[in-house]
Parts: sequence; structure tokens; C-alpha cells
Amino acid sequence: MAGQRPPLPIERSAPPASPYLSDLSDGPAGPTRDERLILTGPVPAGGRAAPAGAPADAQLVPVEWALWGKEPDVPGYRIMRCSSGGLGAADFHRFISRYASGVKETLPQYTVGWIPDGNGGPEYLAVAIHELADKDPARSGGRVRASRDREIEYIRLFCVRYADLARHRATYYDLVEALRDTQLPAQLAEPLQVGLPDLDPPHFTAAVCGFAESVAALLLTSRPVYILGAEGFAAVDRLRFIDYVMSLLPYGLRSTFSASTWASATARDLKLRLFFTNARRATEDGTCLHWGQPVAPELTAADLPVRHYVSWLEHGGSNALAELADQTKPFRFTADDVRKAIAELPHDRPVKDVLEGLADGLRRRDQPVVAAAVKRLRNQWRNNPPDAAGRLGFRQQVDRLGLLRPHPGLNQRTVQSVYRVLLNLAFENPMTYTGYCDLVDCAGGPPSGALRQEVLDPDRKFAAYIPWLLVWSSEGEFSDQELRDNLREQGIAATDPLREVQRDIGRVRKEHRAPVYDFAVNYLRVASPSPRAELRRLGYLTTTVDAAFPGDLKTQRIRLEDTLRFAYDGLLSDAQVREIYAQPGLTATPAFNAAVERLHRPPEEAPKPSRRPKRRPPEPPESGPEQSPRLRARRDREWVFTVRSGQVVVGLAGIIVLIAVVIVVLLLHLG
Amino acid sequence: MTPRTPGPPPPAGPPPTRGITMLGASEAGKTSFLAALQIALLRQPDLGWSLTGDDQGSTLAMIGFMDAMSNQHAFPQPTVIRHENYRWSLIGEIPGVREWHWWGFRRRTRRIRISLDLVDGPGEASRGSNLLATTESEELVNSLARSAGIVLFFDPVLEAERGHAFQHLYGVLTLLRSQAAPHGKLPHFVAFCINKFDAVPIFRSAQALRILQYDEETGAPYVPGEYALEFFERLITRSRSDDASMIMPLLRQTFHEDRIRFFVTSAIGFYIDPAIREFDPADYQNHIPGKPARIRGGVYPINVIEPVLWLGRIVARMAGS
Repeated sequence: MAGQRPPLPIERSAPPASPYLSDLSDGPAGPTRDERLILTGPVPAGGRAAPAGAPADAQLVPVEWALWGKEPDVPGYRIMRCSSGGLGAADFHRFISRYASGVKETLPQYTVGWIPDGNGGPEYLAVAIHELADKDPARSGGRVRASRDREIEYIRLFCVRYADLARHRATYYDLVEALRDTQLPAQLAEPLQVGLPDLDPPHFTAAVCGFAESVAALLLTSRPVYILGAEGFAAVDRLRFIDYVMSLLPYGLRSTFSASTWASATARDLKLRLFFTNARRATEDGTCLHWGQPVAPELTAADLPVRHYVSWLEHGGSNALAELADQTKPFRFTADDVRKAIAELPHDRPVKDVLEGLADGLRRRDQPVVAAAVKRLRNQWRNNPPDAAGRLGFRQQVDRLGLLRPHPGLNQRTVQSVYRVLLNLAFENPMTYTGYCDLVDCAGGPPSGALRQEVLDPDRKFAAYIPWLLVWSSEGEFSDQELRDNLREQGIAATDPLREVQRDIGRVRKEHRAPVYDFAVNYLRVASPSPRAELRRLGYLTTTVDAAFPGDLKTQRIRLEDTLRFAYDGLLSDAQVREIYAQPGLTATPAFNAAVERLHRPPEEAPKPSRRPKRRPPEPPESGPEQSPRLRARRDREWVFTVRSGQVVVGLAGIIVLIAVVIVVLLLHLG
Repeated sequence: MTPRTPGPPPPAGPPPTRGITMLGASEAGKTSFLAALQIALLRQPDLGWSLTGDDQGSTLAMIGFMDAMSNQHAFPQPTVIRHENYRWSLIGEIPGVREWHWWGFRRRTRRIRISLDLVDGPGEASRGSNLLATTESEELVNSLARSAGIVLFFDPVLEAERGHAFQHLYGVLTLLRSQAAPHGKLPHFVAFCINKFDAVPIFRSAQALRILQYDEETGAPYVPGEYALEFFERLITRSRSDDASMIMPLLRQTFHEDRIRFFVTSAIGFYIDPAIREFDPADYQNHIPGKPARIRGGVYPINVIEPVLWLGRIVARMAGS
């Protein structure tokens, strides 16, 4: 055996080139916590007072314990003795077996882990101190140092209920320090009572902190992480580093965390999430990091919450650690729990991250994650309402993430809360027509269902008639009559909608033009005391119609014909036609001319056709000025096709006749 | 019709995988045996085999073992609780291998590599009293079930003191048989190593039996394979427990007899004075008791390569390499 293995002094083997090593070895750069705050040792269960030197507010927490090792001349390791608390020897044995880290080159080493309750939930946190018995019998607790020529690796195991530890936000190092001198002699049987200080995580310099942040982020991927190249540090410093990594995560993750300051490179089936070792392991054993080397975590799409965590940490501010320590709700290192833990991160997270988290939660129908994101977005909107540029940015992200699309399978109220907060955050209120178009784009179509309900919420207003009409008239919930009545009740003047249409029709999308135009004209007809005069004054809306349906003569003509019919109660006489064209300010568009022509009553009634007109062969295309190039092209194609079809038929008939003639000639010849 | 005579039993199927697992009581010398493997190869260069690590951890372990035993004169750290997995490879040359071509064959020296997937578990894992209760026992049984070969350690010194070898074997082998061969014998190949041959009482027993042969170079004694079984049968009569007499029947019941080989081994060997470089029958103790124990001089492993090479060749043949 190699003899006693003293802890390595930090200065001895730290390569001078690494900034991280100097971070740990220099006095001010190392952990700077005031160690006087830690109580120096436990007191037996009977003594309830905090030991001397304890902070005034320190409270005692019960600690169950076990000693693992070998008796002299008795083969095999086993639980030598343990406390008579809630945990039995089998529980301690199971913990030691599960978190065993293999052969250790040096002692002491430390392992931390957790013990589940009957339902598999976290109940105890445990710290195992792997060590040799002290050479001084007075300090060895009655343990022998070797048995049958072999040094004995003892494990002092201390278990504290997670709830007790979480109350103080105590670190593993706190626990080890508080129990360091407790040698667990044979006469001890009761659980110990230990005073713990409130959280004061170790502090490291920026370089070590950066490395620790990477480790913390990688732990959230649920893959184990192991670190090479830290052999030069004392085990207790590695324990402090583990503590620091965990202080960068929500405290609740400690409830199911396991780590060791050393694990054998050849040990199989390690159950540790974070450990130090000296050789690279198989890929499936975890992510390998080298102490002091920059880490760029490779995160996949599945690691979205981890990216958010990294982003949150960057923006966390000086109070981040304290806020993380307050997150004591237990979490596991599973993808689902990590997602939840990150969703509940304190402090404001970048809205971009929250929106991505929301999209992820919606996709997985994860109600708690969605609710947490909504809450966060709502706070963001209330505390820091975005300006126009901010809204635009959020809108683009909402569109990209499809957040305003339907979300089947989720609670209706949750979905409505999502829509509400997104509308507040990314859209103007009152809503303009441009805003409506953006909404249509984001939702992949006109707002419907829960989204429409949210847009129609009384708290939301409309800046103009057009978006109002488009939202209210969708889904057929209200008839035009009801909408018109509603407008009149609101005191909207008869010409107001039409005036807005005239003003904005050029930037209204094609699919919206017909309904908004038709509704506005109808409203004028219904709401105005003298609609005919108004229409005449407006020049029968010829320019508006031309602007609304450019190039579509038929659509224009139908609407103008309707207007003229309304204005003159049916067909037009010659006098009325003259009167129409004499109107000042009238712009006679081709469609208007066509409408007038169709409504113009002929001098005498044309004879009623006695039978269906004969089908005439298609005429060659005309190139009248009123025909659009598209229509002309279509007619050309039809004509050419028909003519060509006829030629083919004639050709075929000719061939058949020719064949028949040949057959007849042949028959005659043969005959 | 002539009645059919019962034929030989059908050959057992090949074991599931390629690994080799060490099985034995705690302190039986499993880890020391593995640690001595590299030294043994270096001591016998004529064999033409060398050892290499297949992954970083296994390579470092090999280097660590060498450093501990030959430089620090210390025994390697014992395996505690967790199983250790050493992935090493034996690399050697086989002369005169026929290589067929269209015109016939020609003989060439072929370089081969035998992968050794060695699993070293804690002795407590095979303790009979709590086999079903601990994860390390479960892990050991699973590891054995996956292995093609087993190196089984018998420590005659411990057996004379405690007599627990049968307990360590019976529970594990019974569990293994119920898992891997519920109706028959296990397909594994077993190298049964009677360890700690360098211990004074064991060496004297062999001397008394007159089964020793001597190394040509150093003059160190060893027990050849053909006498190993006889030696074992003599040693179990010295056991503190009557159960030891059941070890051999248990092995025959569990494994095919032609798949068991006996070796009398020592990881550290006898003390060879570096000045004389010859075995001295009056001063041969290499193990110095203490807290912890130490190795007095150089390490001269006895029969350490042979069991591993035998199993390794079988495993390689099964793997088709």
C-alpha cells in the first residue's frame, strides 16, 4: 500500500499556465466564505442548543448517519454501525452501493447523493466522506486503520432530510464542515443534531465561474458530466466547486443530484451526475470536460430549455444566485423537470427565450410550462410594455414560432390566456388594419375561435372600421344587419366607413376589399337620410370601385350597376342616362359605361327569344378595348383549340373514307 | 433394431459475449493478479505477447498498477463496492499460419489481437448471505452471465483461516446457473486459479507433494498445470470448513469438465535477490506483512499469463478473430 494519502496541496501540482488553477490557489480568488459561520460539530440528540460559535439564527437539523468499513479480522466491507432513525442499515447500504465511485487513488474523497422516499420522491440528501481512519487513535473513533495488511476505506455517511436542508439552503460543504470531526464511535446510536448556517455559496473568480456555468448548463441536458485534469486540487476544493455549480442551478435540483470528487476511470455503471476522474470514458458515460479549458456546450434543438437557462444566467444580474437558492421545490434531472425548473426561473428572462419556451410548452401541451411562460410574459408586459419596435420584434417571433395558431389539446382558458398575453405584447391596441393583417399572418388565416374571442375582448379596441368589420363579421356569428345596427348604436356616421374605404382601399388586401366596400356602401344606404343624393355626390363611387377592383371590369360593373339601380330604382331612361353623365365630378370608367349601357332601357322592348339560340361556332378573338389581356388570351386559346379539333375530325374522316375506297377497289379488283 | 447407445451430450452453445470476469472472495488477490499481468508479459518476452489498453482509463490503470507494484512495491488498491472494467488487449504473433491462395497456401506469421474485457468486482459481491439484496451482487451475476470466461480465485491461505470459499462460489454459481442455464451446465470456460502460491505454507505444501518444477532462468519453482488439480485437492483438506470438499463437485455440476483448467498462481512470485538473480530456497518470501502490506523485491508473477491467454484465445476464437 502506498501509505497515508495526504490531501494534495493546491500549489503543488497546479500547472502555472492555467488561469483556473491560479484562481483556486490564490488566497483572495478562492472560496471566501466566512468559515466561522459553520458550526464546528454536531451535538448529541439530547442537546438541543446550538454549539458555541453558531450564528444566532442557526437551527438544529437532525442528521442520520452510518459508518461503512471493515472490522479487524472480519472479511468484507459492511455497515458497521448506523443511527436508529428513519433510515435503516439496508437504506445506507443501498446508497453506498448506488453511488460507489470505484477505486480512489487518494483519500479523503466526498460523494453526495440522495435517498428516495417510499414513492420514489427525494427525501434525504446524503454526504459520504471516504477516508482512512486517523492514525491518532483518539481521533479515529475506535476504527482500525488496516485489516489483514490492507488499509480500510471507511465511509462516514450523513443523511439530512431535504426539507431541512432546503430551509437553510445549506451547501454540501456546510454539511461536511459541520460533521468533519464526528467520528461515529461505537457508543453513538441516536441521530445527530447539527446547526447549519444559511446559504452563502462559495465564490470563485470569473474564469472558474465561467467554467462552472458551462458545467451547470451541461448538467441540465440530463447527461452526466465528468471533469479531467483537476487532480491537483484537494478533494475539498473539488467539493466546493461542485457546490458552486449547484448554486448556479435552482436549489431544488439538489434534491436529486449526485456527484463525487473522484471516480475511477474504469468503474462500471457509475450513477453520478458530476464527477472528477483522470481518463476519458466511453461517450455514453457522459460529457467530458477538461478543467481550465473553455467549453462551448453543443446544444441540440431538444436542449432549448438549457439554452434559455444559459441566456437567463447571462442576464441574471447580481442577485441571480440568491434567487436560484430560493427555488427549493424539488426537481429531477429529467427533460420534463428541467423544463419546468427553467420555466420557473426567478427574475426576468429575455422575452425571446420565454416565447421559445412557450412554443415548446404548447407543442408538448405542457400546461405548467405554458402557464409559467404566460405569467412571465404578463409581468413583462405590465412592468416593461414594449414600444413599436419591440412589438414588431415580438410579432416576428410570434409568427415564426406559430404561437397564434390553434393549440388543440390544451385547456381552453390556458389557450385564451396565451392569446391574450401575446396580443398585448406584440400587437397595438387599438388595432389598426395593418395590425389586423399581421394578426392574420401570425394566425395563418382570419382569427377564429379562442383567438377571435380574445380580439373581441372589451378591453381591446379597434382604431378603424375595416379591422372592426373583418373581425366581427368572421365566422358568421353576426349578420350584416346586426353589425350595421351596432355601428349605428355607436353613433358612426353613415359616410364614415365609406370615407375610410375610399381613403385606404389602396392598401387593403384584395381579399378584404369586397366585404369592406360592400358593407360600407350598404351602411351608407341604410344609415344615411338621403343615400341617393350622397351617392350622386360621391360620383357613384366609380373611382373607389376602380381602385378596389382594378382590372376586374365585371366586378366593377356589377357593383356600379347595383349602385345605379339603387340610385334610380331600376332601369335607366335616356333622360336619366344624360343626367348621370352630366353629374359634375363623375369619372366615367369603362365599367361604369358598361353598367349604364346594361341598365339603359331600350326604346322598344326587344322580342322575346322563342327558342334557345343556336350554338354558334366560336368566333375569332376580338381585341376590344374593354377586354383584359388575360381574357383575350383565354379566348384565343379556346378558339384555336376548337378550330384545331375540327381539323383533326375532318382529317380522320378523310382517312377513313380513303381506306374504304381502297378496300372497295381491292374487292372489285379481286372480284 | 439395435438400441441406440447414448451419445455424448450436445455441445453447449457459445457464451453470450467476449468478456472475462474475475470471481473470488475478498482479499483473494483478484486485483493483484490483474495488476501483475503486464509485468508477467514483460518477464517472459519469449512468449511474444504484449498487453495494451483499449481505452484511456484502462491504459492509465495499467500504468498505475505497474507503478504501484514495481516502483512503489505496494499492492494495488483493492476493489471496493463498484466493479472495475479493464479493457486490455493481448497482442502477439502466431507463426506458421496457412494462408490460402489460388496456387495453394503458404505459411506466414500472423499478428493477432485478443481483446480482454476484464471485470474485477469486490469480493463482498459474492458473499452468500446477501446475494439477492445488493446491487453489487446483481452486477456480478450479470457480468458473469455476459462473460465467456471466468477466472475463479481460490486463496488457500484464507481458506485455511476462514473456510469460506465454497460460500462465495455456491451462491453466485447457483444464481448464475438459474439465469444462464436453467436446465444444464453453464457454457463458460473456467480458469481456476489457486492463488498466493508464494505464501510459505502453500509453497511448502507443494514441496511436500513433490510436484514442483523450476524456471530455467531464475530457478523459481512453479506447479505445472497437470498437477494443479491434485494440488488443489490436497489444499482443500487443510480448509477450516468441511464445505471445501464440495467445491470440486460444484464446479463439475456447473460447468463442462473439459472447460475447466487449474492453475497454481502467484501475482508477486517469490523474492529473487537482484544481486544473485536466482531463487533462494532459504529466502524467498516476497510479501511483507504490515499496515499496509508491501512487496519486498521485484515482482515475478507465476502462472498469471497462462490462464488469461488460455481464456483470451478461446474468447477470440468465439469472436472469430
